[in-house]
Amino acid sequence: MAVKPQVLEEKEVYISPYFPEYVRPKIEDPGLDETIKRLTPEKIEKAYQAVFGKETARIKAIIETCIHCGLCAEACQWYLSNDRDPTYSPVAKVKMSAWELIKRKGKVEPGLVYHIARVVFTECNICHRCSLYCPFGLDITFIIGLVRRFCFLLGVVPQRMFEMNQAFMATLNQVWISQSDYIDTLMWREEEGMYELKNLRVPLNKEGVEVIWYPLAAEPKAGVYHIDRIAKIFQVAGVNWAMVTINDAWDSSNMPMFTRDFFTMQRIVKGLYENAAKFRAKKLVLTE
Amino acid sequence: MNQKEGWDWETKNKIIADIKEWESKYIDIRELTPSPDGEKIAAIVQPETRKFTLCVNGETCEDLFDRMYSLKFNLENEPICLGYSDYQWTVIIGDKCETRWENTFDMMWNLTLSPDTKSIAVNFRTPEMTQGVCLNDNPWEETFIEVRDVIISPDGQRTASRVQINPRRELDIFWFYEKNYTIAVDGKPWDNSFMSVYGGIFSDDGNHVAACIMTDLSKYTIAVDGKPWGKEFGGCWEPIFVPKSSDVIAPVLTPQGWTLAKNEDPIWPYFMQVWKQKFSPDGKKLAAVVALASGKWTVAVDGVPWGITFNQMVLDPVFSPDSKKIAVVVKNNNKWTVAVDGVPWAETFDNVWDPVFSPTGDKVAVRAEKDGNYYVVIDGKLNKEAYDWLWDPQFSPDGLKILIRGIKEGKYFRKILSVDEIIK
Repeated sequence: MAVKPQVLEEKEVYISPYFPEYVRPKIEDPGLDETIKRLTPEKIEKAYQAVFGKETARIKAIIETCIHCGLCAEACQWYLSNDRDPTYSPVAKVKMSAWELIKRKGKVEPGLVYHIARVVFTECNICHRCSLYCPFGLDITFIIGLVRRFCFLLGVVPQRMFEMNQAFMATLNQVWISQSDYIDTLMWREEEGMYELKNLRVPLNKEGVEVIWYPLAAEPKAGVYHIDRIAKIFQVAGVNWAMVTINDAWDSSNMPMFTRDFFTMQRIVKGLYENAAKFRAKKLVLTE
Repeated sequence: MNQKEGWDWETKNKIIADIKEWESKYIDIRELTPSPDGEKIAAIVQPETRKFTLCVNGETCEDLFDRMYSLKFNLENEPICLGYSDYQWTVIIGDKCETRWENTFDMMWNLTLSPDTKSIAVNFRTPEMTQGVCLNDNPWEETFIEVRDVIISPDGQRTASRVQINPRRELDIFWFYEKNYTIAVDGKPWDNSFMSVYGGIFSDDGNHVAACIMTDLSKYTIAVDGKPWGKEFGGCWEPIFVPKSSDVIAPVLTPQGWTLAKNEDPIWPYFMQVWKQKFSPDGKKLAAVVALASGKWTVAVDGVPWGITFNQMVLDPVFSPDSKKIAVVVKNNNKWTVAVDGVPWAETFDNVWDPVFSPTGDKVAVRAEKDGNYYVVIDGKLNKEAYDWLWDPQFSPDGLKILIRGIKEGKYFRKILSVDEIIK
């Protein structure tokens, strides 16, 4: 039996005042709606200068080589799944964000920042497929990423993404897990797993192992059974492995990559490599 | 180390314990750890399902615990670890677990010893779900929503931690701007708080604490005793204090690149990366790991990089006791070795641990792994005997002998070798 989704109410519509062809359902997100209220022209221009001010060769090459042919459109899942609406094509997203910013040299109003943030954060998955369709192989996603960084520097980021980024900035994991909860959870999962696989171990902070497994923090937080499942696989496979609980460096989900928070990205990767080096592990296994 | 004077440097070979026998006797053995003098080998053993105890040289404590971890030895050769029974954690000290802290907690972690190992500090969580630090069985009076890490002063008399001072509001992205993190020293939070805090350290005299702080999105600097430096940077790595001073040195990211800053002002040339800065024991030289370009890692001393680079990793620089030499573990083309003053050993390894200098600084020893076996290596020369596992070698006070602690054919041993035997 086919189930037809019911539309319970007419959705309010948002029409971009800057690009009237951009028509979308109205959404409420404090990361976009509320944060733009804190912006000033000076802040916006400063963020623009920080990201686009130098106009590096890489940026120029992409912006100036694009001939607006639109071949990238067929690569984009957003375009294809929205009845080939041209406003979802990668070239349109660059036009409505980076080109507009560069054309106006960052002298833009908070309303446009809202529009730009909505486009680059909620209508692009940074999958890089468009580059493969571009006749020049232009790295369109790189430009979208820069616009995301511009928005991040202004604190205009969708709520869920921003909150996760803040968790990393404060705790180096995506879900604010405390040090005690992490260790407690790993010990608990070893105990649970012992009844399913005799003598199961979740080794912690062990030197000279073959493998360190760095989970996503969502696993010890919300998918705790992942811990003992992975432990069982390693144990049955006879792998000399361990998990690490020190220095807050154990969550491999580098979510700040999606906001282009470069320094938090570095802190995460540096921490993971330093812990691996400390315990002289030969391989890192990451959840994905 | 004075303690080393009293160690047995004469007996050439002692088999201390049959670890294979332990393995057959217990469900598992964890955290196998030798004492510094090598005379004891301890482990957390599981005699029955989910019951743990401490085993030292084959003798176990009478008491069983539901959980045990963080086994260490102090320089008095006493084992120390954390144990959990009757729903309470405490610190356990001694071969027979004879000494216990009076304080017990809901959770304890980050068991930390002072450099002389006489002070023990641990993070704890109370039944009220607040957290703090307990130093030598004296918990902080003020506890916090959350604490991260134990930072201990060089004399072991003071502790600090990164603390969260306000409860978090779920999914409230504006909470973060309220600056909810700071450093607490002996349980007292700094007057200032920040968006994020990491990498805290005490000064030599224990009177000052420095840490990296986040002041805004993508803005970082160093705070000393709660007071931020006047300049902000794109990033900062963990600071250190200048020896016997309250001056602070930290790697900082400027528009020109990474450099070292002293009290907010750059003092080094600019590199693609700078971290792991360290002063020589005499306080006169400053070394750090630097990247000259992508995949070009080396050590710089007083801002001048070595003439050689390594394409994967350079670990923490280690100064000789006389401050004249630097040894560091490096990884190049998937092989590990040690470089001393910019000259890598010819021999390479699958793994190599931190360099240990002889008391006079003329020799460097490491444990290294090659083709599945472990070896003691001095000045790049492998001792011919292969072992199943090793811990770090230790030089005798006169530097002529070396203590090897390891496992071979299932047995834990301590051996004394003449340094000449190995390097000849």
